[in-house]
Amino acid sequence: MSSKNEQNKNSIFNIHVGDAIWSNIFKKEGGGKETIVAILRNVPLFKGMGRSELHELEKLIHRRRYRAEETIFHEGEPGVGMYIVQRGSIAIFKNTSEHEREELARLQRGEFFGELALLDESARSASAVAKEDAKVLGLFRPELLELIERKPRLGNKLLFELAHLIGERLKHTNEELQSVWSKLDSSKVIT
Amino acid sequence: MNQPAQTLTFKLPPKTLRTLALWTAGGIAIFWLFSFLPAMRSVFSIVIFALFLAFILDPVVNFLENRGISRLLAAVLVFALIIFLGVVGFKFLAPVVSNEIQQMSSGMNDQSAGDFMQKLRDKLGDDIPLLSNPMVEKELKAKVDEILKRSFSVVVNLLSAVVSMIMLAFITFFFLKDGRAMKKRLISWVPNRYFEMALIILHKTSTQLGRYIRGQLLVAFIVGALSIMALYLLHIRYAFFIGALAGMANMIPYFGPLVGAVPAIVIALIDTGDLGAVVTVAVAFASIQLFENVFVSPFIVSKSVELHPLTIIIAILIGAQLMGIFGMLLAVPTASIIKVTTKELAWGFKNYRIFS
Repeated sequence: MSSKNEQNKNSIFNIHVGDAIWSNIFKKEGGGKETIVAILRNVPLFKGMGRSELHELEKLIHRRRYRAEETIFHEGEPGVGMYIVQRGSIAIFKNTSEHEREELARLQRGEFFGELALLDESARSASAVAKEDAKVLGLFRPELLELIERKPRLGNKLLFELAHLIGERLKHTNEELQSVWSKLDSSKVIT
Repeated sequence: MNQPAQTLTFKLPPKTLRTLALWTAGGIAIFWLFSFLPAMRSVFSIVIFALFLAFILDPVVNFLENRGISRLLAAVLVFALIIFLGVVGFKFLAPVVSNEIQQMSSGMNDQSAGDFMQKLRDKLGDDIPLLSNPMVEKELKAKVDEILKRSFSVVVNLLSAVVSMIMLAFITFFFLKDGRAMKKRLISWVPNRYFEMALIILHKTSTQLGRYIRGQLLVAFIVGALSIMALYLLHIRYAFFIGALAGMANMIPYFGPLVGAVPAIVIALIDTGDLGAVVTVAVAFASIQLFENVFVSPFIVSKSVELHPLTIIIAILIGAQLMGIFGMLLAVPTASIIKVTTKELAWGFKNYRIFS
């Protein structure tokens, strides 16, 4: 395994000498680790952001580690912000009764959750639990509000992307609702 | 037959041992810190004052950042502006204020405490017979002597005050520049279960307190300016000095307005010996208070930090006992910090179901 890695490293070095030099010059602290900017770049919410804007956002990001089965947030608690999965997997649960819960989604690296809490303090609609040792990046409402005050241009851009994302989801939900209604209508006609 | 001595051995699990070790280390650290507390008091005061200043100046730095200036440059510009205003203020106001202070102190020196009492008795003896009482006179003379002696120690402490000012400026600058990163680092130490709660409580508390402190300062500035204007128009000596004192003292509820009004009334009494002048000054101060309470404070000072009058009085008394006038000034903001933090903690514990 390690020899294969070595080989890969060497081949990269041999073929892209120029790239290696530049990547080493601009290497961040804790070299070898993936930078926050690299993760943010692949999140749809930050897709329109330039390099300097992503660096600005990086300053607002909190890094958190969770052990397997540790809860990130509980359903019903006031929401504070969104999380992006950096490593591990996160399960989203909804309580169906007092002692039962249903898994709604399993999120992997690069996926995000809890973004509606960036807009207001209303209660979390589901719980998030780490299914294995996980690293997540958090962006929270206090930092977003401060960003809007300090760098309104970047703050607006982020809000615009968030609005776009929520709009897309609303459209999708409407379409699903429409299809359920039409199914119900057709079943009524048949009966 | 001799039985071998029985030995009882307790084997604690490693987790308990670790917890015990942590608590012991924490206890020793706290004890050690407390043993240094008296020596560290001035350092703590400077750091706390720098935090207050950073709270006040943060919106200004944010405003500059909003205009596209980097945080570092914005912090430097704010400091440059403060130094500029300080120099300009010093150039224009210092001659007036220092002249007033000089007049006050030379008045004290060339007459000495005894002469001062004689003058006071001559002027007011008829109106206030109590002043002719030898016991009262002796007591008052001792007080005046004490004040004169204290003014010398003030001069001696001037150098350390200058050093403290430079330290204060440096610490405030770094709070302004790196405050966000410091807050982030502080939050990173909070365990996962309490992380979101801590984040939102810190945000709410700092927002409310920031607004409260800035509001209080604005009110103090308005009251100070109005007092200077009123005293100047009434031809009261030392108008700038007493007006500025009244503005600052206004931050101490209930007692503050009295602290501001009493020197003005005393000077009006000494200068004119006329009770009519005293009434005019008192009416001017009462009007300023009325204006502040009806038209200024309700629109500026946040209601969410409002304290019960009894809490305010107890806080001021504790502040006075601990740190004198400075303690009285800090009492209400400190009580407000405790109130807001407690309120938000209670909200957090309830909503994040910490104890359920």
